[in-house]
Amino acid sequence: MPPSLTRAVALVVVVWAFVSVIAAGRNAVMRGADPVTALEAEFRSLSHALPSSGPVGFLRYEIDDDRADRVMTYYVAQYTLAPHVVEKRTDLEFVIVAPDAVRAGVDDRLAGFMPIATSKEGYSVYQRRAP
Amino acid sequence: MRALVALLIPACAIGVFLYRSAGWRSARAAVAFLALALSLGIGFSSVVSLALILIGVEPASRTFVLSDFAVWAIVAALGWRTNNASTPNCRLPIPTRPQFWDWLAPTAFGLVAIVALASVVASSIAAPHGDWDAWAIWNQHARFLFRGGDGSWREFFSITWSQPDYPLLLPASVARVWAYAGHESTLGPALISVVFGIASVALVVTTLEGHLRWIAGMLMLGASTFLTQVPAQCADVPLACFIVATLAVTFGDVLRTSNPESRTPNPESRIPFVIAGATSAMAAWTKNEGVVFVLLTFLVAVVVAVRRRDGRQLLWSIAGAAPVLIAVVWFKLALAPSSGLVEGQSLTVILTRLLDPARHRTVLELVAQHAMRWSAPIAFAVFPIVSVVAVWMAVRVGGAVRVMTMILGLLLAAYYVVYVTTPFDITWHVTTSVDRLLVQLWPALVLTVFLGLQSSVSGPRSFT
Repeated sequence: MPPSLTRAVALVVVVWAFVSVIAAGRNAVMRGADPVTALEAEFRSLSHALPSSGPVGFLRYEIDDDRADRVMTYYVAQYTLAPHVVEKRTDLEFVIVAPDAVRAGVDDRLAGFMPIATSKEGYSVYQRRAP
Repeated sequence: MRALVALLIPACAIGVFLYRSAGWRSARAAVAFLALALSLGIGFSSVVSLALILIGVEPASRTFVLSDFAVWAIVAALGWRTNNASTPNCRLPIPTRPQFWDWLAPTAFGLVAIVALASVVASSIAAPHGDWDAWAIWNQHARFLFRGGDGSWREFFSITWSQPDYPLLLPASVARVWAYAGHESTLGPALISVVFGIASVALVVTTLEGHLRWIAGMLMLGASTFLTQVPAQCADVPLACFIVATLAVTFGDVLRTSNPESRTPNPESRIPFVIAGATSAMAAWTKNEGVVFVLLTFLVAVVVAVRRRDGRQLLWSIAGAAPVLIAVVWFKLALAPSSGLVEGQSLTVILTRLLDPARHRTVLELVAQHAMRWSAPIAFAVFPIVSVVAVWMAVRVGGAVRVMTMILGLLLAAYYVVYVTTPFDITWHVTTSVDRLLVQLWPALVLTVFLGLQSSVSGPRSFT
């Protein structure tokens, strides 16, 4: 490769790298609030209501349970409450309930449960009170 | 501060080993040794941490930190007793007065590196838990290890969506840093990610010579997909680091010569092969893709041993890899559930998928789209262009560059086969992972191209 071409390619790489890292820095600074941090704080405030070990239930969303934001809520609950295993079932003593997962009116999936702790944004821990 | 100390302790112990067995005679070699010591330190200490957890030492206890420290003190003491194998046989080069142009490239690299580091720090502050896979997989496993010292950490093997078959280098390292810090913090995993990012760049820059090394470093950092993966806290940058470390140590000469200006590899030096064995095994201990890499490098080492009719280098590589590979095999066979990629798969199903042209077309289209847009919007087709240059270099220069290109090409081919035979939805599988797979190869690809450029100027470097 002729030296002039080598220098030209090197110059292109230098300019491109500068522009690229500055753009990456700008994107990092402009990044919005982190949803994981916010959700983690919610579930962390509920952890005192749970026993030290054992699986914990999670109330499935009635519709669109696999929507990305709802999947994230469930996954962050698991991330926050480890080493509990958070399972999408309600036949356990403790169940995590997201505010928008409860059916309007009476939700028969929570029959026999009582809320024992609620976070700032309305995430709750329900405990089974009756068989 | 304690998190940093946790990373420096094993790095110092391994650094003692490296210094006593290979020695260094230049700043370039010292930086390469530091990068290797840090990355290998994190890797080996994760194995020690897992061993301590398995025998019942809780990471949240003081006993864990004391036991871990004792292990590394012993390693450092053993390293100090190692004979210094590389007595200086050449004089140090007489420094020449640098010209203006000699300052330009390193200064430009320094500025790019500072801005890149600032962007990584800003990303880490904005998303302290990392990207989706970081908190859903790697940091979550770390929390199980750290909080479940009574044995309940094994519960994560039942969480199928959290990839419980993934190896534990990263989670065990994060748990260890938390143990030293005395509490969980988002600083621990962020620090580990930054160390691997810096080590990847340092290994490429120190393996090369002259101005080319600075241009290579800037090319690496200019790829925004690579740069944004550093604070993502996933295992792809650590895996990229171990891949490039293996190739740099095997094909570069920074560990082989006592004189940085000498380009004659010392054939008697066994240290590069021991370290290359260790780094390739670390790749397998980092992520499942690393298992393919370690198999490929082993295959290449066998071919070289047969062609040379000398198996000593192969044996040294195996010796370096063995301790970690034992941990990997044991983890896969005794602890982890089977991978979602192979569960329920049969030979008939795999062959049917492999012979389905529609699946090939889908994978090729998606991979091509992502490869062209990799590091967009500032870059266009940067990965394909650099790959084409690597192939051109492999044909033109041959030798080590050809072998490196072959290894990376075969690794890419293995990823392709996995995509075609995946039991998951192909579109979902490719679109959610291919950018990160290219990140794994990026530092090694840049190193290959620039070693080729270097060889085309100074003559080819033979490998076999």
